[in-house]
Amino acid sequence: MILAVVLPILVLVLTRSITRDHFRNNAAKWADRSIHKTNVITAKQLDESDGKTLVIELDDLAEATGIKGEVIHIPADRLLDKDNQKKMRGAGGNIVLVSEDPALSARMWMMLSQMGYKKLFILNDSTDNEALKYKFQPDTVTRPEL
Amino acid sequence: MNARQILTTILLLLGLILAFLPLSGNYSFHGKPGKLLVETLDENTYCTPDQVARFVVTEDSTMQLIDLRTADEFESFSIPGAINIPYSSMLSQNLESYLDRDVKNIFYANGDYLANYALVLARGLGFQNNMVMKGGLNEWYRTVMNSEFTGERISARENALFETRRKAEKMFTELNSLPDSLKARYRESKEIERKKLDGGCE
Repeated sequence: MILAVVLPILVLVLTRSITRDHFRNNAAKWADRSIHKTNVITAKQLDESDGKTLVIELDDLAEATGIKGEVIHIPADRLLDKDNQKKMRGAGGNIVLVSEDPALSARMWMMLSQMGYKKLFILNDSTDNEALKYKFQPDTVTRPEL
Repeated sequence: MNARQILTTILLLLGLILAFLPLSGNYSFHGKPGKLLVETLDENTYCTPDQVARFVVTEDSTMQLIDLRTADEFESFSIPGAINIPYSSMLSQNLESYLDRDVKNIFYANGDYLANYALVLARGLGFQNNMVMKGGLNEWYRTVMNSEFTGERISARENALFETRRKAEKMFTELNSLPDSLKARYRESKEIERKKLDGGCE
């Protein structure tokens, strides 16, 4: 009778541990690389890196030509399809997300990262997306009342 | 049931709890990735700098701007009405205090990365009503602060748009040109207003 209770629990625990289509615990841990900006890679850094790379083009406008690694096109809304997840899990090296839209890359990175992908990067040119391109010019003449 | 069976049952139940429930106090994503994917691909989670300019000019209390840059960057200048939650410490704060309110939160930073990371984090942790200002402050500067009309004729709609941009630009410049002490007073007064709307005490 004890076995009848233990076995289903064991199966449930193992299933949860083995299956990948769920989020990992501790969101801060999986988001940490985005805080330190170690999740963004340039094409030059990619060229210099060792190991296999899977480059995923997330939209039709993304151009990953000339970038080192196997390039596949997976629209963002199909990223979680079983076949695509299998390709990504079986990549065995770096996975690099490419998109014309940095907002899309960032969103997909965070979501996939929370699913446990560790060697996941966003491809960016040498420009720092979070660098401010403008300088604020204060008005030193008028003094409005609060 | 004898004592051994009772003890076995209790241990099994404890094991079940340990296996499935995160015991750490850390935030973890809820729900299924498929559902979050649909939410994060929703175009309605973006707003433009022009829309933000309108919220600023009308002092729309149903919107809360959240500046994800560092405290120094925020002190240097920010969009009027914004609060500062540096992205690096977002998950070590009490998220409910600023995300779980009856307002729409609009994340922004200098570019697109931080705001969109924050949006997915907020949604994944179960907080709804979150958006990002597309393009961040770079786009705000390009669209609102450096706005210029170059045509010969202006339609009524374009005129209204430029009026809003001008007003927002003026508010932005006025606030951020204040000495630090006055800026702090302005932000305090906004915080008090926000708490009043929430039904809190001064």
